[in-house]
Amino acid sequence: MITIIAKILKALNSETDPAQIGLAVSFSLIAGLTPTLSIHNLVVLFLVLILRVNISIFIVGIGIFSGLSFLLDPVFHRIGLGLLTAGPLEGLWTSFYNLPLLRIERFNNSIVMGSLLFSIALFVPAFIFSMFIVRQYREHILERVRNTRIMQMIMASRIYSTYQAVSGWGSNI
Amino acid sequence: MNRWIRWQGLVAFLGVTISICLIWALFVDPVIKRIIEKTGTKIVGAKVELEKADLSLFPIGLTLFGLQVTDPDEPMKNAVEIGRIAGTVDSLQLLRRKVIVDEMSVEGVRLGTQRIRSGAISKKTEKGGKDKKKEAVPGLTMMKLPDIQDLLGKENLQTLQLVQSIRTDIEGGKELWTKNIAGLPGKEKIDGYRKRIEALKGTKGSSKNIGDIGGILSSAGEAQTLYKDIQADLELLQKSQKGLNATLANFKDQIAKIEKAPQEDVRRLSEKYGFSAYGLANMSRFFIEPGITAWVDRGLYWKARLEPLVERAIEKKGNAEVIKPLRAKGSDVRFKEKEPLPDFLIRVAKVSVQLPMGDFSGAVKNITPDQNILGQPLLFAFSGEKLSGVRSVRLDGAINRVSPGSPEDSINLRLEGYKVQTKSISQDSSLPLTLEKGDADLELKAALSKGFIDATVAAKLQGVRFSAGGADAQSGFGKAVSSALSGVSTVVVKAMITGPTNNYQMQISSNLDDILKDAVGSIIKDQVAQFENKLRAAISDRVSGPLQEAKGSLGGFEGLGGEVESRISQLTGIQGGGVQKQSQLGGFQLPFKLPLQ
Repeated sequence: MITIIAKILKALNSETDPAQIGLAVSFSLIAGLTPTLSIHNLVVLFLVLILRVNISIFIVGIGIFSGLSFLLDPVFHRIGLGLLTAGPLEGLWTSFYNLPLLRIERFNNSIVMGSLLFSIALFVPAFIFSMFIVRQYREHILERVRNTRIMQMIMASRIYSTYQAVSGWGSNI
Repeated sequence: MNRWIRWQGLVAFLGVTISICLIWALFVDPVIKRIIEKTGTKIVGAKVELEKADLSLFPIGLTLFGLQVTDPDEPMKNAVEIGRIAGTVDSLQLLRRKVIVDEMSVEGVRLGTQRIRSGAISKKTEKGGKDKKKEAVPGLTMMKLPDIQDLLGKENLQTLQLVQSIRTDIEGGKELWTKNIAGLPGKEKIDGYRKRIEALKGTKGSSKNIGDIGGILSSAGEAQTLYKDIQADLELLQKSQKGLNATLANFKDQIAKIEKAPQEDVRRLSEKYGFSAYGLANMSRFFIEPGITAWVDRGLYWKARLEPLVERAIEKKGNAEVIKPLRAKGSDVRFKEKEPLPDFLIRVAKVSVQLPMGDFSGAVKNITPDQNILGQPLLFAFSGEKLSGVRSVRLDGAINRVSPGSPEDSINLRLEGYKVQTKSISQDSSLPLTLEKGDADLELKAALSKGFIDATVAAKLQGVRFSAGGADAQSGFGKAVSSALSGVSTVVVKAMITGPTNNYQMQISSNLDDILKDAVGSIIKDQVAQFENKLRAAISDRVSGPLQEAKGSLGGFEGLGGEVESRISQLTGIQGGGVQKQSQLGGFQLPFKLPLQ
């Protein structure tokens, strides 16, 4: 846990590209909000590993968004059921329904459909917003945070020593 | 390119995927075992245990070993125990998320086996149809008078309910009429009329010139208005008096009817506790009905328990169907398929049941919760020949949910040459009856449609021998029954069960009816008379107090009636003497007759 916190601090405070952090947040949004055992999450995992996405932020993001999904499940159910039972889309869903790969994906489940569409819709906004926040943090807050007493205490603590230990790692992970 | 791609991630992805597959392969069997145990326990309402589950991948198949389903009513017994269940799954259909098993074998099925540990679950689950038991048939308790006070303690007397109801009505009526009467012309208004009369009389003696035509006409006009006002109030009071009298008469009429109601309670309770003409003419039902009721209830109970396996909740939205899955969250929406198939289907399950009398084998076809998609009902057929103690047995039936709105189930059982040995037919401690031996042929045909049952049971027992024990078998009723049954060698029973499953009616006829009626009819008649007299006296005792109170509360109406009567007579007095006639109020008399007069 301490190592993960240290890695997050490192990602935020170092020269890690804000786009890598933004992608990590966006991918964790999909993986966290949608049911874990879904085919699309295998694709997300593949993309997270193959692209230079910050994995520490991705892991923490999954934790946060998974927790959030418990609260949002009723909303996802409504969105999904509304879309799946919408008359004009019936032809599209029927053709999807007859494709084995999409059947395995369980697109016809109200929560899978609702959460997937919700998270895909938020993918780009979350990416842009995360990048903006990281840049703002680095420009305006980072120095002030470093000078606060709490931060001074943290810098003297084990988390900081771990942070220092990992700071020598490749900045991409 | 390398700024965005990390090629080592590909290796990591393969590593993660292979690890997931390995973990799945290692843990899938215990996970399946757990799912079966948990889901089964939820459906049955008692522990379902599985010794081992084995999932094979090439070909995809599942084998279950040592399945035990506890009997919820007897947690130390298994309702069913199955040695091995094996089947292969159509892997192509599995890609479409459809579990299709072409053939499944169910071997080593045993019923009613003993358990080592109790299979009860702490959490009390809903028991479905079994909780809705019909009222028990009193059995041979009819030979003894039940304790009347105990009986009345258990039963709700309709007479008492009627008394309570009439008392509430009387109180409500009194309140209403008190309010109504308060709104009618009362003392103040009557005094007002008196003052107006006085004023008119004063006109006569005043300085105003009565001889003046205008003055005379003015006084006459006022007198006429006064007369009309009094007349209107009088009519209002008389109308209210009529209504009040009608209400009172209605309450008196109802009380008179309630006084006769105990007889209805006596009739109802006599019938319920078997002390009726019907009970006397159908005495065999006291021996036979408890057994049939237990069978029917047990059948309905297991049907309710297994219902989720053959039918699931579907909501239609346009051409799509929204399905509530047994487990998991959300709802699955089903669309039209090119080749429609249920999500789960076992085309044929070959079952071999090991009964104490021998092996009984058969097949169950089309096991699926989506019969509407398959277009075929679940069918089952079992048979056994030359079993120990039974010449032949055949069981078949169907559970039809092809049209979910019109569920239809049927079951047929034919049993030939069943050797009955020492079968208890009455557990009444004072007269335990046992069928010592007999050869039975039995035929059952039952159909269940939209919650209504329609079944017939026909049984013929030959070479029967009854034995009776207990203290009462030596005297009176018991002796008569015992002696009558000792001469019986053939018993023919026909039962018809009809009505809603939670309140079905059973009609039973048997050659035992006449035999028993002849033997114990007079004894029973005495018992019936004795029972009814005691019951009538006890009911009257309970009802008389509240009924007297109800009668007493009618007194309040008489007070209200008196009040209205007094106002009417005062107004009549004023009208009759004050305006047109000489009265104690004065002696004012108009010099001419009023046009209304």
